[in-house]
This record gives sequence, structure tokens and C-alpha cells, in this order.
Amino acid sequence: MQLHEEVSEERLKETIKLFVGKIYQKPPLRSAVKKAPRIRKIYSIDILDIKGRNVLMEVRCEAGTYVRKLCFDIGEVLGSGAHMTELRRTAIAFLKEDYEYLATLHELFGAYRYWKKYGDERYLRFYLRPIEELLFFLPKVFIKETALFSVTHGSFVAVPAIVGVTSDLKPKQLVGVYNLNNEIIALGRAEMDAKTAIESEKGIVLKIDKVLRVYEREEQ
Amino acid sequence: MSQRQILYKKDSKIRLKLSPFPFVNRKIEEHMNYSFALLDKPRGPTSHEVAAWIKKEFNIPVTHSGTLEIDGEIPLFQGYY
Repeated sequence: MQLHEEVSEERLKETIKLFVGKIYQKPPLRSAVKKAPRIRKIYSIDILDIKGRNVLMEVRCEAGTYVRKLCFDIGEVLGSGAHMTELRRTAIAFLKEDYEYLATLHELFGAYRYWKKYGDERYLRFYLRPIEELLFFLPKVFIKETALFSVTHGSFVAVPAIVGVTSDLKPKQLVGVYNLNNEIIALGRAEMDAKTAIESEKGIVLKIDKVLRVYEREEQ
Repeated sequence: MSQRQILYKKDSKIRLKLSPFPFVNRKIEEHMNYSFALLDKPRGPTSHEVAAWIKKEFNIPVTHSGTLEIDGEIPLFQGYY
């Protein structure tokens, strides 16, 4: 963030404190969403460095926060005016910059071409992580092989189609639908808890929201 | 993580072919379609541009999970998202 006038460090820190917590934000004119004020939560703002009018901050905030707008608003409250000069995402969900598999474009392309040219897939596998790794925290529902076609073509998952569930399954929750190889095939909303799902004779366990892997009907 | 268990239906004899790492058995061509990469995006090109470059090179569908104005790292989802 660049301030437009000199501001004492003390006043800057006091002002930034006001922006931690729930804040109102009006999306900027050029934005992808409706331009009505909305509430976003700022978890923390840490000042990492100050050099003259330039301030380096680490902001932990809710998805959909406009950081450019945040900087502008801090400038308004200070009275000096301010704008954002650079922005870098340092974390998303549980993934951080120190993530072992973080790749540059060169590394990713290099790994791909190395496989294409020499048939060695080790490097490509290192950077390309399975999507299951992102979704490990979701409750799981395992379904029979015979149900794969209908489930990936829009059908609800009913009790007869399932083999088992994880014990953390609860109604209304986002859940992962897995095949017997422990590979995710779809995401859905649960309609039952774990105990009901394995003890019932019939009923709908979950409704599919998003299919990640499409199965074709097996040849007769 | 709290300890969660897999509960099987009482009448079902089917059990999971449980391997803790299902992806090691996937063929690389298949794996590429169901994977993500965490990319340290350089300043300059947009997230859309970067996704398009990878799509062109890898010849598979690619999308990204979010844009900032001037971006840092973004996970790229490859495959059918």
C-alpha cells in the first residue's frame, strides 16, 4: 500500500486496527459482482514493513474481499489517501506458500516436457497433485460400481447404491462421493447422517451438486 | 483430524480396495485429468492467460480457482471442473 502523505507509524497502526473484524465493502465499479455494499471479515492485518510512504501488509481475509478497496478505504480514514501497489496471494484454504509442491510455470512446463521427451513421469507427478488431496476433510460416501453410471449422470445417491460412509457424515453437509478405489467422482449435499445411511433400507443419502468424473455405461 | 471411521452397511459384503494413495496406481494420462497444481504465478500475465497456456501445452481442460487483480499463487485445477 502506498500512502499519499506522510503518516506516523502509530496512527497508521491505530487506523489499521479499525479494519480488523467485519467490515462493509462496496465492490468497485469495475467488478464481477453486484455493486451493493456487503460484509466481509478481515481476520488480521499485520504490518510487515514500512519504508517511507510504502507499507507492506499481510492481510488474512474472507473470500471475496477487495484488497485494493481495503487499501483505498484505509487511506480515506487516515485522511491522506492511499492505493494498492502490489498484491500477492500467499495462502488459500490450507495451502500456503511453503507448500512442498508449489511450482513455477517453468518447473511445471519442464516436468511435462521431460515426461513427453524421456517418458519419465516422476516430476510431473510431483507437481500435479490428485484432487482428493484438496478434499480430504469432507465426509465420504462410497458407492457401488453398478451405481457409477447413474450417479455421474445426475441421479441421487440412494441407500441401496452405497457400500459405506465415513462416521462424520451429517445432513446438509458437503460430501465427497467416492468409488471403491477411494477416488472421488462427485460432490454432493448429504440428506442423512452416517448411522441412518448404513442402517436404513431405502431413502436418499445425498444429492449430487457437481460431477468430477464421468462414467460411461458398460458395454453389454 | 478427529478419528473418523469407515462404516459399512450391515448387509453389504463389498469392501473398499483401500489403498491410502489411490493416485499412485493411476496412469499419468488419467492422473493429469484429475489433478491440481499450486502455481507461483509471475506478476504480469493474468490467471486466465496462465491457465490458457497450460491448457495449450498439456492439451487438457484447465481452469483456475480464483483471480486477484495482481496475483500471487493460484491453484490450477486441471480436468473437468
